[in-house]
Amino acid sequence: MVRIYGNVMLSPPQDVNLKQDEANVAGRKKIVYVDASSDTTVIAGSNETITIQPPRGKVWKLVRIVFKADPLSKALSGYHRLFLGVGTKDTEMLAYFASTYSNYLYLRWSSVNSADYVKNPSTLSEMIQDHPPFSNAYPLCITYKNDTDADQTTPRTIRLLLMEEDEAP
Amino acid sequence: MKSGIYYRGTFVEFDPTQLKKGEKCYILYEPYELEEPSQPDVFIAEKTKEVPHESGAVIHYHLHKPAPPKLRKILKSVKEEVKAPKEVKGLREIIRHSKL
Repeated sequence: MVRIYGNVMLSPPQDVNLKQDEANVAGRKKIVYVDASSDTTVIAGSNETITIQPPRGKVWKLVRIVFKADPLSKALSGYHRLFLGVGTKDTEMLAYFASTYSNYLYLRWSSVNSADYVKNPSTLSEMIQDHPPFSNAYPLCITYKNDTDADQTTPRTIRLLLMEEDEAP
Repeated sequence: MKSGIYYRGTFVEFDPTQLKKGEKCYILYEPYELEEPSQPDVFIAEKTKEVPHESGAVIHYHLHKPAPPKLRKILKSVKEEVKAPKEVKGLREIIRHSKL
């Protein structure tokens, strides 16, 4: 690569500079850890949506996720559900898992430990592989729906490992 | 899914992450005919928390509760809709912006 400063043409940069340019072209990357756990009570028939909005100028890509919601001990019917999506206008576009009220809803790292009613996609690796990156304008939305007849009073664990890159201008 | 407020006969659509803590907005699911007793298509969303992350990111928490039947009826009959741009923040600014 040749750089031109004013009317002076310089020879190609040294190897070290060339590696830096390659890194600049490729985009800087780093690992980010986010704990978005919630202890808010989700009453029967209600949802909680957690929107994770990266800083401006960065895109994040999901590497690993842990989500755990306990069984609803006082419920007698229904399901609790987890939806993941990108963008605040459609929170259900990427993945949907559900368990009956008496079971855990549990995703851990790369496996779906417990989702006895719905698994879409069927494996976490598939979800992570196909999951598009998200940004400040199109954040990640995690929605927990309590479609049972009792309140969810126990906390939900939500932990994410993400890869960060610079967003194209 | 639409998010917004119903004000003086008009539905104003906007991004719920722009809400301040304690503010509420209405969320409609499209199409409006989706409603079932177990899954009402109109919710009231309230921002409960906004947590900054060390990276500069922000995590927004909202609770969505089913809207009362009267409100559901009003919102489902809305004819006029307005969109508020992303840079307009907070419910009061949105109302001012929409000149409602």
